[in-house]
Amino acid sequence: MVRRSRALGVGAWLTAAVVALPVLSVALNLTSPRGEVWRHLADTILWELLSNTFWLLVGVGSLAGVIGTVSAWLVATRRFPGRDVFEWALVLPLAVPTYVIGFVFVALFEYAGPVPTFFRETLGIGWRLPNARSYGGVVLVMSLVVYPYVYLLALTAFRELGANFTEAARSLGCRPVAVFRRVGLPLARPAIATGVALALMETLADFGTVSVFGYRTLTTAIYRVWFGMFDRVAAGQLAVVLMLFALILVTLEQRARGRMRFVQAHGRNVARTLPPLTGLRGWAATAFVSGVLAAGFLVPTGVLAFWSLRAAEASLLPGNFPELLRNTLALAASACLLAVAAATVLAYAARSTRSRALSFGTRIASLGYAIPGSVIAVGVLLTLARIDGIINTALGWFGGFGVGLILTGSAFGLLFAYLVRFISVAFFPVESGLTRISGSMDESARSLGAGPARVLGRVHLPLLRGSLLTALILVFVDVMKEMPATMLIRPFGVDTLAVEVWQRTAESMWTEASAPALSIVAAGILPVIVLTRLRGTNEARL
Amino acid sequence: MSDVFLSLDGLNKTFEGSPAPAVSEVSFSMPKGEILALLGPSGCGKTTTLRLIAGFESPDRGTISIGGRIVQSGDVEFPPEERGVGFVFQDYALFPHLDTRRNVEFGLSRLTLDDRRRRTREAMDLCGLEGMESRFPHELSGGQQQRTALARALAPGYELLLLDEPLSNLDAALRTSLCKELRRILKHAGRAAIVVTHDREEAFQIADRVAVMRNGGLEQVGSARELHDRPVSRFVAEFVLDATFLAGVVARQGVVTEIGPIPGADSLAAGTKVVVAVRPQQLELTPSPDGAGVVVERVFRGSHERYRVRLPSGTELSSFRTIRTDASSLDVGAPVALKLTDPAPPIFVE
Repeated sequence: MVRRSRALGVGAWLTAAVVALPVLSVALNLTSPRGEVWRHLADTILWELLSNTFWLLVGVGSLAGVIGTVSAWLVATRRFPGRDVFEWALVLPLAVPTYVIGFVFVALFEYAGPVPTFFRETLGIGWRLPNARSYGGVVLVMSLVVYPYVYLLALTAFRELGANFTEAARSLGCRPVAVFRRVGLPLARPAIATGVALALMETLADFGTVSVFGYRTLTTAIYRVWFGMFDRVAAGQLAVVLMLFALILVTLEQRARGRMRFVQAHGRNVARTLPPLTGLRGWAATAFVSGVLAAGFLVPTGVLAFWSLRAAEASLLPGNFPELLRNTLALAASACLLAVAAATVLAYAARSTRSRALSFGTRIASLGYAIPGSVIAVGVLLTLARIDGIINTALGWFGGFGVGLILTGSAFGLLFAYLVRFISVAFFPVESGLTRISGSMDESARSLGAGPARVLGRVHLPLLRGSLLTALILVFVDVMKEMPATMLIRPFGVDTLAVEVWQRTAESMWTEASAPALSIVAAGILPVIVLTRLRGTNEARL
Repeated sequence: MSDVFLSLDGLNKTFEGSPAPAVSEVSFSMPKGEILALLGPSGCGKTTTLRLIAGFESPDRGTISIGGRIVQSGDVEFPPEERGVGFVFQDYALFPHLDTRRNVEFGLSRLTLDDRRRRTREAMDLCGLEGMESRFPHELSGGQQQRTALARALAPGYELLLLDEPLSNLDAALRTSLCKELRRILKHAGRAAIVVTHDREEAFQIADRVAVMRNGGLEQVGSARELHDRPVSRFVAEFVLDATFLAGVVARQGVVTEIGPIPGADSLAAGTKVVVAVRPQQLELTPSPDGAGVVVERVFRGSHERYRVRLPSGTELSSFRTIRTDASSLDVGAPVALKLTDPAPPIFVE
């Protein structure tokens, strides 16, 4: 046992170090000399980038917070037409990547798009819709797909409060709205804050939507500096700034999570029916949530399906569609295996040793989910370029020829970036699966004559199967959806579905972009189902 | 009763997806200031009845009036916040983000600051919560949480309090002392109260009258002594008196049973099949080699022993026997003679 746990410890340290490397190499940029481009950036657009990013977060945080909280409160506490369907359907927008909903809305609302055209033709020329490519447009569109984070966490919180709190408040003379204000909101505040933080991490990481809307943020600037000006140092410095935003969000999230424990539910199951919202108010609730759902899921997917059909009829489907699909699936499959394997090593190490240093390393490694893909991409590229340089120098000493950029230019870099970004996505389900296997289970299996391998095969594997599968699916789909890191690191000529969507939408070829986008959304529904089912079994177990 | 304060008339409630009604045809009324216990096994509809009165659930049918105001009838349905009824939850439902004082003050938001302070003070003093003002619920013991929940429900001054299994989350010793305390507080405040419980002793200690429920229906309402002396059904006799039952047939002079003739059942026609409820403290056992029964179980209960005796037919009866130092116990397997000392045992038609 001792030797095994030492090997495990070494493996875990290596994993943590590898994962932390790119983040550290971005952080190092803070101190490196500032290049020309950086000075230029600071003089011209840096403040605009900072304030744009800041206001984007403020806007999306508020709007997604309100939408998520209100719909969760309605679903958790009242009965209204369609409530049971909305309860799960409200999670669906999570399947739509931000850049997909972004381009669908721009396509629908741009001057020549179907909606303004319809309004012009029916209501006359003078009638104008607000410009979709605006601050309000970005905020609205982003909020429509990230609010489910708030919705899910708030819903769980409101549920755990139990109807007892609501009923207690009402028996003390509170009207329903006062119950929300005086009891529901204060108690669910940590959960709502956590949800908002997660939603904002998604917002911060987004690249496709903001660029389609022409809204300049730190993410788009990194891309432009990297590809437009070839200035790696400046890109690295922008990445540092972006990472600081991300770290602030992580801190907020962790603090809010810490406070979530303070509300504890120990209500028993009393047979009860939710009080109904009758008449007009019930229909108003239905209208509100169905509006949210339509705008965040039904309309975008419907439009995508419609355009895909049109594209198929006009043979506008990308000719290389099979190849795109193959690339995407191959990358996603290898990345998810890699990430789940690494996460399993980390989770086992965290379980079998109580080393504080190691648990710190695990924490660092699990920060990836908060750090935008573009930052990780820059970090990975900087790291690999350095290693490539070392390899070539070493080969030079031995009188050989340089082998060129063997790491930077291959799929290796991309997989590395995916690992860094998504290892935490795999880590949480595996870790929570492991906590269900108590140490006494190992001991009882050992005392019944099973060797370590048998314990692993007969006890752990069957118990972990579900968690491992969940982890694989989650990472698989996240990799499929990932855009900014893929854009920056992909080997020359390797296109994926997400890259195709980006390239087509950058040229406003909406119809051509729709089939790849629809494939991504279809894949995205998978983890939504898995997560909803997981929540179901969790509730059943509690 | 001329001064009816709360009255329930024909309440019915069936939950969606449930074949049997949770509450069926429940009617009763109570005067101001009375404490009533709703007693019954779990799932008998007592909590649902309470929740219907509070307005947390809507009945399918039935009328509720509180203080002369109809709060539930047909289309009329007052929301909980307009019924003026205090509710104490089984898990207390204290607001975890508010300290004790602000929990108690919660229902007083419409009063002036001075009134609010005074009412909070009074309710907390009455419930023995001095010095707990700034503690949060998770910093209180189980008993203190219970008192806080009670103080919170008392503070608004409602004439009626509903308490759902108020003591079930406490340990046995605390339960007994809080039981008396609860009655003292309710009586001192002069409030009417309905206390839901599945614990017989608790019901009798707290309440003036006890309502026994079964399968959603009300079996019997009465004082402890009324229930004991005149149980209306076999269920009440079993649940309230711990009675066991002896089959018999009505004859000219009383009822013929396995252990001999038993007086009573004068109003029933001869030949009617009946069961006689045997109160365990009124069944005397004496060791006798040719007795009709055999001891099959003996349980030591402190002041008395509880015996189970099997008759030749297979019927088993319970008997309590006071423990005295000058008399030895009966052993399991010993043959015993049985004698019913009850002059008028309850008799139910089968």
